[in-house]
Amino acid sequence: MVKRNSFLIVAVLLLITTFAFANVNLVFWHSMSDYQKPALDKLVSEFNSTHPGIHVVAIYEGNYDQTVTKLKTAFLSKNTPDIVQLNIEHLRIFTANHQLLDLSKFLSKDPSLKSDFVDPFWKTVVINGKPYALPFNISCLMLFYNEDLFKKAGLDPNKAPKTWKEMEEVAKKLTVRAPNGRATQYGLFWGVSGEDTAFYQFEPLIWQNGGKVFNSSMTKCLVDQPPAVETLKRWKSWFDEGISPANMNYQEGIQAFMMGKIAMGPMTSGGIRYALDNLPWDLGVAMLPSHKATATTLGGGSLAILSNVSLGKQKAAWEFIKWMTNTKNTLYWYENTGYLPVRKSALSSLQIKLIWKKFPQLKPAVEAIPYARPRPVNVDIIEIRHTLFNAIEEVRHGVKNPQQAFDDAAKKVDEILKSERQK
Amino acid sequence: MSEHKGIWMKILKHSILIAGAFLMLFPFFWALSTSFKSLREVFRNPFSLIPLHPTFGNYVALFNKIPFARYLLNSFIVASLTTILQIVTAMLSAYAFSRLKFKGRNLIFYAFLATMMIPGQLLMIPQYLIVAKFGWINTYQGLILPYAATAVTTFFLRQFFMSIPKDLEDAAVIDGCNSLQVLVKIFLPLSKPAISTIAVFSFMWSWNSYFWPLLIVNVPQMRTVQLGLAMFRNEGGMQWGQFMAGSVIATLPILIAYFFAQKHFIKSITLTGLK
Amino acid sequence: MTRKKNLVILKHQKFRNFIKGYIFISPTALILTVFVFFPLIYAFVMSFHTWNMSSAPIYTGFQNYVTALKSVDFWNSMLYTSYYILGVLPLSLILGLFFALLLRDSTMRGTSIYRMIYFMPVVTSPIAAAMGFNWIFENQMGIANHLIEKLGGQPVSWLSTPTGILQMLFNHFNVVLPKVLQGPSLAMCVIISLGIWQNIGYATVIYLAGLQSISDTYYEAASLDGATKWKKFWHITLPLLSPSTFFLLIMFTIASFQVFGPIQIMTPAGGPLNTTSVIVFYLYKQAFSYYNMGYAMAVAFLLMGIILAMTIFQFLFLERKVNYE
Repeated sequence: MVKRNSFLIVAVLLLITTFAFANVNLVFWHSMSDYQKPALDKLVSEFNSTHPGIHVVAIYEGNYDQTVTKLKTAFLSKNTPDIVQLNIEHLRIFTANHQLLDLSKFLSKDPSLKSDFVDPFWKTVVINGKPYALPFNISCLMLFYNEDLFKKAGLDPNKAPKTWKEMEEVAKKLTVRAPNGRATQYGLFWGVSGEDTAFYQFEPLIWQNGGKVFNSSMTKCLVDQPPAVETLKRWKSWFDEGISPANMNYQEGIQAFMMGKIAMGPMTSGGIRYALDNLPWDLGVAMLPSHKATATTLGGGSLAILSNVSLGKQKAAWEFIKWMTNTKNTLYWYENTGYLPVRKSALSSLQIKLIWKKFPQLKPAVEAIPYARPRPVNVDIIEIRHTLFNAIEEVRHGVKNPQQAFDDAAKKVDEILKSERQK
Repeated sequence: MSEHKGIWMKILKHSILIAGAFLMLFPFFWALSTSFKSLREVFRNPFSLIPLHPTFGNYVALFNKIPFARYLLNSFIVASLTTILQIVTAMLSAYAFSRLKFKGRNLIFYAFLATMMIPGQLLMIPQYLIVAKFGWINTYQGLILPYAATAVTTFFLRQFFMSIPKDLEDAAVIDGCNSLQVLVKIFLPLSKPAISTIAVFSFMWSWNSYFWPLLIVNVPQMRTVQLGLAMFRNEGGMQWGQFMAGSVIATLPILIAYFFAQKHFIKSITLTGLK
Repeated sequence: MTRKKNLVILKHQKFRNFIKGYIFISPTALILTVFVFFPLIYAFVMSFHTWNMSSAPIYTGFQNYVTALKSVDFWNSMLYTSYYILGVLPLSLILGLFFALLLRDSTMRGTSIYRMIYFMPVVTSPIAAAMGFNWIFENQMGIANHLIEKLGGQPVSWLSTPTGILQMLFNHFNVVLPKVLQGPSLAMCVIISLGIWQNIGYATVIYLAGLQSISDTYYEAASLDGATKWKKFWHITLPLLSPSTFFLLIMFTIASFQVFGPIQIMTPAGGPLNTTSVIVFYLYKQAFSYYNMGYAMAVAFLLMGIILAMTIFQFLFLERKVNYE
């Protein structure tokens, strides 16, 4: 009898322990490569050591676009992860088919949480009134420039150009030509072919010129309107005047920038720390120059939970994404990458001032937040962006004039938007 | 006089051949040389033919950054099993197509051959769905079995078997061997060159394949070398030294396999490549 | 009586062969059925649907095929594919033959070493090879540009110049050629050069084999007739090598139509103004970037039709000219 009882007690105890410390394994797919990966891995391993019941396995699945492909195919075979990092542009691809978990139920239990996220960032994860992810690695497009080259050209390295006109003048001074007329150094590099980067960089120029890429209901592409076409003309003139290299793709441009052969260019704030650690010259970071308006673009990713995850795992997954975006960790992430802090409490913290002291170049990115606009999104956004960047490439290479290129592109994009609505 | 001419002719020929060999080898040499240069040296002194301060840093970084050893092992397992299975299936079907007479033989043979013209990418998604139905995502069988038999190997071996004289097997049949025994005792030893060719080509093909693994593998412990390499390239950055180190590692095993098999291999192409 | 018995045995034998034949081909047949024929049917059915991989497929009849045939991008990618084939095929064959002729001399030393070296690119991973070529032709630090600069020239944007090479020539005369005649872009030329580099060794080995099978008696007879070396080459060597040429032509054509890996590595966005976006690259993008699955499959079937037609054409019209001994 006693024997039997003791056996029961042991069994119950065992059950309780397994229940309380149930080892939940979570698979987390992300797109953080190279320089951001170590910081991410560190966060994940810290989470694992502080949360004994949960074990998160972080797997790099390629860049954002490749992750979309991987996830789409994974759904076909029901081999999906539990948590995924998705570009804020791509969330809609999966919410359209109810493949991401609506986070409302968790947020309603944690009312103060939502209001602590920076408002424009929060907007990027809300679709049809429901939040489907937590903003994690949000970036602004910033102007990167080579302070050494500024000094060499007799310019003040603390004074980045503030307007398009200033930028053009500075770029002219920063363009160096050999006696035979060939440029050995260029002033500016902005928005050229390279997978998805070209249009991402071009878009804020249209906004700065008072234009829009789409109408507000996302049913019509507006690049054939004067503000966008004017922008394209202006941008083309940078190549015609020789302040930007005519035949260089994005990869080659980055290479040239690193080697100190290009002086300025727009880059994501998420790369600031990598640049500081690896560039052999002094880096300056500033807001993008303004024209009729001041604007920059929000990019980056968010953490989402898949809707097919079991209830028990959902809780653990929520725990994880909440932890990854808490004040302390978002500051760590900011300091080590340059992605913006996503919490208001982090922006007003004392610690951020210490970070700015260490890395002053990280500060302008935070100052740019009020001017940052989220990029328009759509299920077919990848194809749409490729269509638009093809158009600006056609202009750069002189195959079409700006009006013609954007007229054609707008027509094509309208068709994509139309067929998407019919689906 | 003509002897002199002969010597000059030879020197001319050799110099052309050496120039050709140089062009063939240069990319290998250049990749190897760059792989031993530090990032600093790649930037400062990208054109020195031999690294001034050779370093293993790129290789170390590569193995630290991504589990290349594991990827190599995976590639090795997948490529060797695929090769073995392809040889076995090809031997059986090649024997049937070259020696046995049965109804529908030619029709089936041409149907097999036609598969060579199908663009692989077309089949990927349905193949993926089938493999998923079997529950083979992220497994070796998923990587191997869809390619356990191919039309090319069957075709190649059939051509070779046709060139083997019939009397040899007739004698064996009289001795009481059945078809399988004939295959193992007569055809197998006689087809060594052809089989080694298939072995090298199958191994190489499997080793170099990229799409299929990309589609069905999404856990790091199952990734193959080519996936690691391409993923690494996608990561951007300008780590040319590390890229080249990765290329060297991905190429080396296949080159070694080729060196060992090349004698047979060229002989068997001579025997069967045509006809 | 005996005749009847013999017939039965014969029938029995036939039946046994029938069973045996099918047993022997069954492993290959099984694999090909499950992983090739069945997917083929599936893809064919899908090519009549609109499917984005997430929502349910919608039947749209021939719409995908019509869209493809009307699409400028589709035809452009066909043009770029033709450039690739027209660039790779002749040079691979000519250079392969050239080296084979040099290596044929049995009194030469080291032929096996040359042969081995020439074959090395054939076995190299296309991805690794593409990365190597990418590095050589890199804009800032590529050794190709370095050599050009050393020789006093201007560095070339190898992988980002969209202008066709024929158009570049005609630029000197201020003539603008129609698009079809402008020729492959520089970026495409780099990719073509990689293709040739990987093909030469294979062509050399095949041609060597062909050369070795030509009997000396032909040449001896020709010598008696006082034929020159050039004449012998033109009238004996070349015709008797035609089976090798034909074989290489078929193999290289099929492979060239499906080139993809190097393009994705060297020009991941499809090259300057999409000038390296060959048909398989276009197909891949439609399928795995834009998720127009049904459309991509329709394009693949069009491609397959073209390859099939080309191969049949080669068999019907070229094989006649092939001189089998």
